[in-house]
Amino acid sequence: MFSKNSPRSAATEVPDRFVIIFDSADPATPGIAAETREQQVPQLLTEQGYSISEYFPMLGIAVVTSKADQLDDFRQRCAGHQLPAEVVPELIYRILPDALAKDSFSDTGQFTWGLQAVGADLSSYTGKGINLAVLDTGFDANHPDFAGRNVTTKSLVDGEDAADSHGHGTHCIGTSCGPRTPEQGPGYGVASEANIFAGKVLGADGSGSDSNILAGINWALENKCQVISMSLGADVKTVHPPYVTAGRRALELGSLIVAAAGNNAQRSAGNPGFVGAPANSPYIMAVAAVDSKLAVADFSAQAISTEGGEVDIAGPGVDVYSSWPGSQRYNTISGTSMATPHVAGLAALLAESTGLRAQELWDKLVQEARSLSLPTTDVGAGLAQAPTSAES
Amino acid sequence: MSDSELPVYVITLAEGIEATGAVSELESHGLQVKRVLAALGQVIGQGSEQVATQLRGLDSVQSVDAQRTYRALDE
Repeated sequence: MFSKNSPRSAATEVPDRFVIIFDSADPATPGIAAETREQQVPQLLTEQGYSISEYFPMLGIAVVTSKADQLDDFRQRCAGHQLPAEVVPELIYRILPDALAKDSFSDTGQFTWGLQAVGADLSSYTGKGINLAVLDTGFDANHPDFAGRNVTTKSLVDGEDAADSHGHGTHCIGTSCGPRTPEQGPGYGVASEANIFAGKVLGADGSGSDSNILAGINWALENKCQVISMSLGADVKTVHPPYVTAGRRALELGSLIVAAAGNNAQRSAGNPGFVGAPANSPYIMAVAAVDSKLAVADFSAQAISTEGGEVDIAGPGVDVYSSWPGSQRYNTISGTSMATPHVAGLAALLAESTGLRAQELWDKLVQEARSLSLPTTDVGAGLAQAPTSAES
Repeated sequence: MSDSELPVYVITLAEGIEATGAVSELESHGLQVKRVLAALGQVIGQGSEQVATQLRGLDSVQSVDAQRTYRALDE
């Protein structure tokens, strides 16, 4: 992968080296005659004192060593022969950093390994102005790391308030929306300025029904959440029709739902598992988990051949440090549950940086993912990545 | 079977059917409506299997699916 305009790797000009393109400037009549390219052009180059060792007659392109004033003279000579010639500096191209990127990470005092792996530690985007819903076990809204944040909570679980007595929800919200520079410990949140919508759809026992979850999606859509994160699932292969409709209607309303692919694999024992519901809806993005060496997690479910059974993308999901309710404040846990809020947070950054929504946002997430040397059935397009400062 | 033991169903309405407006028709076929999800075009309700069968025959209904349970996916 090469680029001359990458914000991470600008191209540099080579002194006194130029590329001359012999071509018509009129798009209605492109190209020049083969005879001209094969005979007249090399003759003119030679007469000007240029080497023709780097002239490519099939392309009508020459690379020459020259001073700028000599080139002006050459252009005038070409014009006298009605031969169009465009001159541009020769550029040095470099392999993009993605291809040279690290393939092993660890938590530091500054950032979790996950934030480093997805590039959130270097991104100037924070999800500001984006509404991000996390549908989970609730949220500890009194957690000191979230003081001053824009937080909306709602319980869709009968008989329970929106507080998180389980921990899972607060952890997922920490990863997707937590701080990058907390008062203590490493930064752990991807979209650190997103508006947080904490919908409680799983009870204190960590489980919940369609009734709660669909009500949570409906609530998030009513609140115009551009991204909805669901670190939940059931180990069933069949697609559950309500989530086909829910995923499609969310996209129609400008919202992207991301969901955990599932933890039903035990790869070390030869069991690759399968993407469960609701991540197997064709309109919901299924997220796999990788570890800090960017290997697929032992528990992370593999794609199945039914429509929607694909793994779409991967996120950091092993030994993930994030917020936790109460006096404990922090915890390190694993699961496709932990990979999903990384991707949700990254979707918020991309939504902020590009203005894209719904299916276009999905496509951009996939397009920008870092390719991994792993089967797409395990990690989809690869490891989701944060936009850099110059993303457009 | 008491009302609280009746199965819960997700009723997904046909394209273009407005959820709030469909409630009375669903109730007239015996569904006890629990939640109306207007943005999704879905209704959550309880009823017997016979009620579910009746609802599946309505032009305004796309699908009737028994409720499932999900769990947090940490290890």
